[in-house]
Amino acid sequence: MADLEIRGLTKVFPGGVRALDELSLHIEDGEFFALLGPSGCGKTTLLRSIAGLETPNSGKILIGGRDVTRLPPGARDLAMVFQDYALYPHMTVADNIAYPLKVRGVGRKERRDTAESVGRSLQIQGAMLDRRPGQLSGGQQQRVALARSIAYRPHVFLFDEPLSNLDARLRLEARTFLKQLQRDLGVTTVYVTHDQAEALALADRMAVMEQGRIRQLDTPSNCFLRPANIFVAGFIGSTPMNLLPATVQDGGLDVAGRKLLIPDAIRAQAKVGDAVILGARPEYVSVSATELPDSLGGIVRVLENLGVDSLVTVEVGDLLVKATVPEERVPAVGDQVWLQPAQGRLLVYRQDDGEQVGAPPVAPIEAPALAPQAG
Amino acid sequence: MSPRGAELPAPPRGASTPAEASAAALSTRGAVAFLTPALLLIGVFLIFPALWTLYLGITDYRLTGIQAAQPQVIGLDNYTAALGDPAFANSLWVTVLYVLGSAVIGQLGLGFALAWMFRRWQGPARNALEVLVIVAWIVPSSVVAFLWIAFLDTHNGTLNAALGNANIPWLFSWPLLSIIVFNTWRGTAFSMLLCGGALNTLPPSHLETARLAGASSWQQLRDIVLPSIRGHLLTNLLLISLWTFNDFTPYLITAGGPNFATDTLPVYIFRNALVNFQLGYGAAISAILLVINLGIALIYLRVLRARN
Amino acid sequence: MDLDRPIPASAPIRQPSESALVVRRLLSRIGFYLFVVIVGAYFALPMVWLVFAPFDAHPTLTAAPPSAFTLGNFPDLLKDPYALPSLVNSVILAVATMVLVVAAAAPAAYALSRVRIPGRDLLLYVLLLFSSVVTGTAAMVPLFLLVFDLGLINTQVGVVLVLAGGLIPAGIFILKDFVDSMPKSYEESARVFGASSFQILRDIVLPYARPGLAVIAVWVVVNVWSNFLIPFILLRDPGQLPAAVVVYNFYTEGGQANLRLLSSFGLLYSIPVVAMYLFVNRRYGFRFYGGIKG
Repeated sequence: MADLEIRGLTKVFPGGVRALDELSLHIEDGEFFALLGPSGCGKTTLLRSIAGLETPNSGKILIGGRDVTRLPPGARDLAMVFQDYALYPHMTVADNIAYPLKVRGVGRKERRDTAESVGRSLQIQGAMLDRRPGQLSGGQQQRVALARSIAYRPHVFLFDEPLSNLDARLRLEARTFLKQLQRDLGVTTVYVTHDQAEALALADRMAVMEQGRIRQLDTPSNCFLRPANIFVAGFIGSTPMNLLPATVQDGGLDVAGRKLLIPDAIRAQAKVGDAVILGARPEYVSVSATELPDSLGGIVRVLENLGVDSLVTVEVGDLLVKATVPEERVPAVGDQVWLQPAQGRLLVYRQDDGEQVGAPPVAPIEAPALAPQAG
Repeated sequence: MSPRGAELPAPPRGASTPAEASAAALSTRGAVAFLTPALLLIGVFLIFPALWTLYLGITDYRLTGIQAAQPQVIGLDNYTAALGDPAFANSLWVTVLYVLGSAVIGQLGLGFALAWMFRRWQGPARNALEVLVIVAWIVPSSVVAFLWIAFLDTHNGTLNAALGNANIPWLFSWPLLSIIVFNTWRGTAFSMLLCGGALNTLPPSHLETARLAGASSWQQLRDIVLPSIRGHLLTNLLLISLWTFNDFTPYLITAGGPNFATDTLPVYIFRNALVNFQLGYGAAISAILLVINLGIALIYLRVLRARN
Repeated sequence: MDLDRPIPASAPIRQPSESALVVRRLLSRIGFYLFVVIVGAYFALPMVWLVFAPFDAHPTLTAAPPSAFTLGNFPDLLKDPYALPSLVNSVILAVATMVLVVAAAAPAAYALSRVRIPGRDLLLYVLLLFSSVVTGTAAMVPLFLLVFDLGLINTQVGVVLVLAGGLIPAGIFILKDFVDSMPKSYEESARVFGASSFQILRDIVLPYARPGLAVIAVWVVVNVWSNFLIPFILLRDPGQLPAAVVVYNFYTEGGQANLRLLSSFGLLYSIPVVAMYLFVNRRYGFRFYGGIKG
């Protein structure tokens, strides 16, 4: 087992695309670490650089304290599960699982034994071992790919969107299975995904990436509850966060002509007249049919049933604000309602650089944005 | 010899994915080693002959006699000789008619008609017809050449028998028409298969929308189908034209006769260069054929690029 | 937009009478069947002779069911000094060319698909251009002279080299498509597990490309088997000629053609390519690069 350290990694592709920009990161031994971001943010390039499939332009990669930056992939003691699983169609399942051992010159008998024992732990057994990957379901193929990685006994697991080829239901099952497996094996794991729900569910810690840089490095719950900037705020959460332009006034915030209370934590840092962006998750916005002080009054325009809750879209001045309401309190379209963000859940971001009010200013290009958490 | 049937793939496109660099199990030097045998063979037996043709065309090279030992560069004499030679003009004209008749009208027209018919027609009759058309395309040329000699025979030919012992000397009275009909028969399969593939790429919803709007079959064909598969038809047309320009099979049926009525360029080159051994002159004609091929191929690649 | 507005009267929907519809449908049916019968006869009739004549003890040029059925025409082929040896020659040419094309095109296709060699796109473009432009007919003069000067005239080696040179470019393109279709993650995954280049090629790339190699092999064999022009201009010694040329000689040399010999030999010579075509077509479909043909 080993920890993983990335120091100032930069990768520029021919053509000038800067996929990784002076990126630094430390992943603890045994940690389940997720790299999250939209496509093109550099998360896959980072994973492939760790694997040795890309050569970074500068920076260092250390696995268990050993500098592997210039080592070929095969010398890094890590296993990778690819998005398409990369199971060889011409080999049986058992041969696929044992292929890493064959590369190392392990004999036929021992390979078969390993394939059987590793396969058994992942419910790949019996006749299935002698089938071809093409004859298996997506979920089974995914487990075979896992088994092949496990058979290699690596120091680090690398996962490149391993669940994205499964249908929604199977994905949930596989997710739980994967988390359990990682706990049992205790192998340091780097997991790339563009699905924020997957990252939140699986990771011990995660890095949210944009344009080759880390925008927030934190636990899933902190990333969800206290996004460090508008980018993270907008990216995480299954219903998108309300991001509302506002102006700081004396003792309050002006939103579309309505007034909200300014959160205590940032009162000191904000000046009157500052342009800010308010972030409020629909889950933390309450809807009232009676007028409340310091709230956003508006008209209900759209209702969307989410199952347990409903998502209400309210027209407040020229803004659209979303809130979730439990089934028994759903208003009707056209109703006048008053919206109020929950205490301590209203986030305030600077309009100019999108960072939280109170956070140190972020230079637009140079420094990697390892923004510390503001309160 | 362009392997007929290998539909030329799309020309390579620029920028490849960055991931590519590290994917291969080969270094750049290894790649060069992997390429060398193929490039050597292609260079010696494909590219060099083409360039040599251009050189030979400006010499008075012959296989025997003094010009064989020391061929002289005679400049464009061969070309001016060719262009002033009524036999060459005749040959070029015959070739153009042959290509227009058998490739453009015959193969493409009939091939598209068959593909259009086959689109929604299932059953043994359809399959039998399809197999017949394909078999006509794949039986070796020296065999089909004789099949047509027999089929068109004046006294015992099946065609004349079918017409009630008409005893029409097809290959004498209508030699060019005969080989045009022959080559249509011979090559329709390719156009049929290609058009069939093109029609399959058409989303059914496009035609269904037109049918819901009340369009007739002809209107669907004109307004929806033809515009959609225009690119396929054009590439198909260019390929079969190129092949037909270079088709040597008429020689096996008529040997260019009677009286040069079927003296297509390939036959003309063969007779001048390898029968009369006027290699320089033959090479000049070859160079002209190469330029025609080059023109068609350049248009073809341009169309393919535009299509992608 | 106002969806309730009726369709303007200037665009009436024509309603042909029912009887007119029936007549029109009947006429189009008749036209369709007429077309099918004519086209069917066009494609069938010239071929019928090859089906019947080989089994006729006294075939004529007219296609007709055998007047006296016999299988004796086939054993009689043994008596001809050129018939069966020419089939052996065809096999030699086809197999040798096939081995050469596969051995040269497969590594080249892999390298072109996977390695960013400088000038690769230009190279592919030039290959594509030359392979379509330089046909056997257009290059017969220099090919003849080249083989003559190399001292390979009237040898099967010369024929094989010329045929291979012409077929390799298309072979490279077909195989390159195959390698392109192989996910890069296959090789990457093996590399992460520490496989060497040789192991990757042996364990993963070659087995994956096997169907492609089989297609190329059959495609080359069919092309060479049917090719008439190249052996026709490069070979003189009758004992060396492949079947394609020998069939032609049967009906052009020496007076009246022996139809028993010609028909049975023509059939015997044609069957393998038809069978191979059907094999490839069944397994991989025609769209496999526009089919195969010599």
